Amino acid sequence: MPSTKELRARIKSVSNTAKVTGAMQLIAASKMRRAQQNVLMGKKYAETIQSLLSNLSSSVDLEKVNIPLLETREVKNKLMILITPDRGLAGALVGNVNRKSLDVIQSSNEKYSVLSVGRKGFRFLNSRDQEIVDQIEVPDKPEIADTLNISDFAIEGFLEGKWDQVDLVYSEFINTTSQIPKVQTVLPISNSEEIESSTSDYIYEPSDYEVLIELTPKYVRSQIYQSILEAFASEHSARMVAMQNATDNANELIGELTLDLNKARQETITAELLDLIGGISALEGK
Amino acid sequence: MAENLNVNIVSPSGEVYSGEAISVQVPGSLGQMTILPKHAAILSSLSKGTITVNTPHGENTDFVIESGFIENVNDSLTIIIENILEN
Repeated sequence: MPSTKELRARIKSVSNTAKVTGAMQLIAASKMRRAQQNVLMGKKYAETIQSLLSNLSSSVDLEKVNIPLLETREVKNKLMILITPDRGLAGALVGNVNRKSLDVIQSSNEKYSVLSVGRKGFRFLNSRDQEIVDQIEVPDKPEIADTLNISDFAIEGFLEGKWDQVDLVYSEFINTTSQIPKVQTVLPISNSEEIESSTSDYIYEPSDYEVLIELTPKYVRSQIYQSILEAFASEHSARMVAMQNATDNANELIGELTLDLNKARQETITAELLDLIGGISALEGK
Repeated sequence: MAENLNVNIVSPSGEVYSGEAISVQVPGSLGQMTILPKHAAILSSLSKGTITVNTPHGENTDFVIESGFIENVNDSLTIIIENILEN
């Protein structure tokens, strides 16, 4: 049994840890609320632009005209945009996303170039000799303007033929306790989600074709922006939960240690009492 | 009294404007245009300029934009813009 002094020192160190994780939990919780809010705010825009796109692509005869970003061509090279947090301490989140990206790269027949958004993914793939074309960092409270360099990089490379497909890998935000690594193809824009809309009597200005040409890059930008928002919401939620667990564990440990401390303290008191009684009875026996 | 337009202006950082309007002026890519209630269904791209929303209370709200799109179906008018330069 450790001495009371040792136990006191351990309790102190564990409660310091609990203080730190508790503070991190609070910070993550406030960042999480804002990030979740941003996801919701961005959703409306993403959905509207998506419905405009499906409206237009059902109006334009895609067989006759060429919309570069909708063009499906033989895939030789792919670009992966890997979105990860800059920092750890977020439970299994970082590992899950990184592992997913490695899975995708290894199971693909075509060569992947990687654009890394966030430091964690960069370090992970860099240490595995994966070619990383660029690493971009996004501020904590991203506006769409902060992400345009990413989308423009992807779009330009696609148009120049550097890659024939662009995939996003990020952790999809389901709710505070659940985030799932997700792979999503953003380029070429897939037309599978065609919604039947009443497109019959629309006036298109300047023309449906020209509006579509202008809309497609905006759509890709909004998709990439929205995934970055989701990645942030996932990161802060995962960190909040991880820190909450750490704080709970620390508090539990403090409870156990306090119990041990009390036991140890009682034992010393008992021993002292026994000593005293022994001494008294020795005196009386004289 | 004619019915009003139901206007939603949406940007990636959230809803910028939501409410009723008597008319809305937008910088269409083919020139400035005004949308009134019962306008035909239209989908147009917008160029750089100012959107003016005229509310039923006689107020005007202006938004300066770089580019965007407008869709109007059955007096429900949606404008999406990537960013607002000035409010």
